[in-house]
Amino acid sequence: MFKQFLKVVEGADFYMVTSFLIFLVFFIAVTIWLLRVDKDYIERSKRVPLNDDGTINR
Amino acid sequence: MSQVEKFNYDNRIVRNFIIATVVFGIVGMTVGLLIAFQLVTPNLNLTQYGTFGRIRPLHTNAVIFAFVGNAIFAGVYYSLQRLLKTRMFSDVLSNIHFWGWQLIILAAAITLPLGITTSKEYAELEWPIDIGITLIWVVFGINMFGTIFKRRERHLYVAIWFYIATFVTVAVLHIVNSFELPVTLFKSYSWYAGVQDALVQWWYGHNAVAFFLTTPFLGLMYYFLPKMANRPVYSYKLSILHFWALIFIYIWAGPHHLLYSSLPDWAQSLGVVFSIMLIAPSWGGMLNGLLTLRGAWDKVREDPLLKFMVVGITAYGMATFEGPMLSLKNVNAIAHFTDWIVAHVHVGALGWNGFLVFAMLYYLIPKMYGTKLHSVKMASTHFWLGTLGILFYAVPMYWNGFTQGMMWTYFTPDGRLEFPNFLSTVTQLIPMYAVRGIGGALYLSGVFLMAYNLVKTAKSGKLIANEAAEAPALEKVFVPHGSDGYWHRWVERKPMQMLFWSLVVILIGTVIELVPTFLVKSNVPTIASVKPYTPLELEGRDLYIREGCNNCHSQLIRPFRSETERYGDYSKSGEYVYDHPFLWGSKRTGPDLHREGVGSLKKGHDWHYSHLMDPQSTSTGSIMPKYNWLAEQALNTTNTAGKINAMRKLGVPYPEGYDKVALADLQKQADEIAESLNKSGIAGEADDNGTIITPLNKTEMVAIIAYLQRLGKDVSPDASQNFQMSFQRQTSQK
Repeated sequence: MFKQFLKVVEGADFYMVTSFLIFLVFFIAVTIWLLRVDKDYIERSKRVPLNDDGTINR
Repeated sequence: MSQVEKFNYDNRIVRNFIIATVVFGIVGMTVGLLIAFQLVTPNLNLTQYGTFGRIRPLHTNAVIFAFVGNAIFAGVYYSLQRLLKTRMFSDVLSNIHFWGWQLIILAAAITLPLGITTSKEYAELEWPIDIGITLIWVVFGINMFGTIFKRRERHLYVAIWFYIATFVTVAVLHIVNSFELPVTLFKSYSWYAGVQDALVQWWYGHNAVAFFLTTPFLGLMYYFLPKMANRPVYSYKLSILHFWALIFIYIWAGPHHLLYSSLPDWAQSLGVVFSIMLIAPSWGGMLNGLLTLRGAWDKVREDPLLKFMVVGITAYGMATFEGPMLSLKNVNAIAHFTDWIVAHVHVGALGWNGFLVFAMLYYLIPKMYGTKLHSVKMASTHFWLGTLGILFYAVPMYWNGFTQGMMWTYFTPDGRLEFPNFLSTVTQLIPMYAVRGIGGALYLSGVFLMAYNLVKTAKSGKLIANEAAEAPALEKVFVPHGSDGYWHRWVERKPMQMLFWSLVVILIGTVIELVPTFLVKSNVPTIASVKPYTPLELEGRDLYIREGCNNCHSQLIRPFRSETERYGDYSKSGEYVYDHPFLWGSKRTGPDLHREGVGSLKKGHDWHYSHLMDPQSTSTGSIMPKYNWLAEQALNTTNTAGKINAMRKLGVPYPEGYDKVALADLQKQADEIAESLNKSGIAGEADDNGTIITPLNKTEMVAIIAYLQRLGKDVSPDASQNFQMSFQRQTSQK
């Protein structure tokens, strides 16, 4: 399937490989960040909607 | 510690958007019910303003942009203020946004039944309304970012990431797909032609699903589900990971709507690969939603809000599993153009969007009116009506889709089509269309029940228009917590960076997919015999667009034996080079028309006349509406010259000055068709006194017949029979 369209358009292989690499690098970067991220940050963020939203009339 | 500041949340704007949501939900779904039954009884196609072709877009636009759109804004305006502990940036902008959006909806409700349409699905509105949408969207963006900038909560909760991505991407999609050249105030031609127009349209169409029906709803899910279940989201890390993966991958998947079309293979394959990859981030969101309820299933049993959420999120999971499966070429070959796709989108729309909205409204109204829900039991009844409605809608449509998809492909042992008459594959479906209509009615009755319940709830309390709140002001200097301060600061201090990176992420897919198709010439091999439409055919084509014929008829023959046998040679990309806009369609309620004027499908002018006047007279059992006004109304030719000029600007090779003689050619061709109809004993439509209302050669009828007879001619041996425009006559004489 891939060969078929790589032949049709010159440079399509470049587009394909580049786009996939961009996605891969980006995905790995986000994953690494998430693995390294401070637990405290995640816990605090997670609770943002549940923290009292500041309303004082009820 | 900073000083505690007092402020008010704006609940009135949320309430306004909720009213609009409920009203337009009812309107949009009622129109849906009407068009569902029009497929059972064509007599329900009342007047030219109420035919299936004209009001099917009204249904889709109303439920997507009016019902779901207003619900998104209600949810965003409520949650954004609370997640950021601040009032919306500007009440004036909030109100401009609200009223502007309702004005756009009103404009759509007027123009679509009048046949003022671009024909591009979910983007049918004409250019002045497109500009209005752009302006109002920008107002929404300014209001949202203004609110983010004046926030009292440092963390940008993940729901807001989804809102930002929605804003950015919808802006890009809408602008790129709406490039069109205005001819008059109510008529424009798409900037793109044929294959390129199709690619842009389905890049838009698919991502309208992604960034209007999915990402904002995931944001709403991440806010309202924890609130309703009173527990934090299952995994915050997963929410971040699936956010970035989702917006990155979604933008690539559009071409799966064009499989086996004349779109270059490499673009089709790219669409398939990314569609399959899409399962992972979609299910990441679904699982994160369902797992948030772990340990709270006892609540789900009792709380109708959580019931709505669970079924809604499950429907999302089903639709996002089915989507990638449908993008596999072998599955798509059967499902495409059939009711299977209609079932697929309604599982998403009724289940995921509808149910999430209902849960949200049941949550918000009591809160904002400082009271309790009028009747929990009634909400539970609504839940069951809705769930049954979805089942009664989806199952018959899957049945129909599979039945018709298979019937098209059956061959007899001696190699002929088993169902050569397309109509026989349609009449088969009608009982199930009726059951689908009942499903829709059940679902809608639940919405009426909800409206009553919400009104009663509101009456039992009082709107807290300005809800008092307090929160410490945001510290000016960022104090990092823990060890990873740099990245937090980066994300959290600069919301514009979120906007920028969301934009970059979605533009990568857009550029790689669209640009090569536009720049590389080999993508659209030209065919020398393909010539521009004659002025009469061009006018006829515009009538085809006005009547919304493309809502039921495709113009795209796929390279299958079952299709070439039925319709003729498969469609080539070079045939569409002068098609501004493309008219491939996405659903075959009627047969494909790409070779309607040639080969075994060719019929006389008189057949087309009789068929358009009363489809059942030529095709027993047809569910097509009657188009008798085409024979009564005079063809409006005041803009013909302008249309020719617009086409010239778009690169269609009419010679310079042709606009000045185009009308003469138009009349010559119209006279020829009228004369042929006369010979067949058709004189035109008469009023009660027997006077001909409009001479045949001046009617809209001859124009649409001219267009239908042209279809397929360019690449057939009949090309020589094409009407010769004056400049072509001169060339051939030389």
